[in-house]
Amino acid sequence: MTLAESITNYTGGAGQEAPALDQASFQLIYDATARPLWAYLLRVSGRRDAADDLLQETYCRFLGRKNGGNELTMSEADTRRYLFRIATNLLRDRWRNHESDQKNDGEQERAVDADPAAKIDVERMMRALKPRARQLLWLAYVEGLSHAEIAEVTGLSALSIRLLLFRARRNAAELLQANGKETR
Amino acid sequence: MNAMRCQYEREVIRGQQTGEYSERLMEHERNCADCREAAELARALRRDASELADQYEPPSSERVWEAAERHRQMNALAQATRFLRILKIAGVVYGLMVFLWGLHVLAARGIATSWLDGKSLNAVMEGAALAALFVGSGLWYTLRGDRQRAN
Repeated sequence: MTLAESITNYTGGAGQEAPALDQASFQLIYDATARPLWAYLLRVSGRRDAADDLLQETYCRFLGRKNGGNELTMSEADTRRYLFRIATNLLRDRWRNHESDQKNDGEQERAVDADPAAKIDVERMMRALKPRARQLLWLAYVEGLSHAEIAEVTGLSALSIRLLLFRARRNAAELLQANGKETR
Repeated sequence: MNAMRCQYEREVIRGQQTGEYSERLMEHERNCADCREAAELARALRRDASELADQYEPPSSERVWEAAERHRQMNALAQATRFLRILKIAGVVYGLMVFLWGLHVLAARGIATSWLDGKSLNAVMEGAALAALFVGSGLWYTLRGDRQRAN
């Protein structure tokens, strides 16, 4: 063992965590979660390139976390929620580092969608909302998480989530209705 | 404006997800504007999510696994080198302190270097060379191992 290895082990670094999850188990988790996670990242970030990068980064963080091996005792729902939490943190870091991303929502590339009008409505509606609102709506209505679970994923308090989600839902419903009228 | 969520809203959303939609829930959705709004929104979002997920072809899990391995190795290397950098700085500070202390002692003795004859100077030089050799070889061995693993 090299000095660096012993230092790394001592500090609880990567050397100790490495073989926590075998590749086959990871593949199962990945196959079950990559698509929904990417859809979340795409709709919340509004950018396909960002969603691709953040997806990979999410799994890198997941595999490199300090408590390697815990996923073996985690339920499927817990693992999924944990991945969403990592992704949400990465989105937040990204907004901090690239604040212009939030301002340039109007110029974001469109997701390649087959056409249905309802889908365009959802895409437009999501773009018109603030990133935090997009997150909450997705977690509540697509992932079906409770307020407490959303609080765990986003780091907000359950109490503020109730209010923020209510506002987001109102805005979203109004936008959807407006879009519906426009497309008719 | 009432920011309270209807107590059945979560049940309605869950029911949509799982398909377990009882007559009671349907009746409630028909009569509760909040739940109707939430249910419509959830339907639209979920349809969008499912279409997006169907279209997306994620990179293979092997590729992601390998990327994570590289990521992990780079992190380990960064951690180890950070520690070594701190050691190096500590070494420089220590050396400087010894040097200053030496000057202080020499000054206190009126820069009388009668004790610093050729023999003791040679011993000091040999000691310093040996220390440099040990520290240098240790660092080289450590960094070589980390670089190999990172590549």
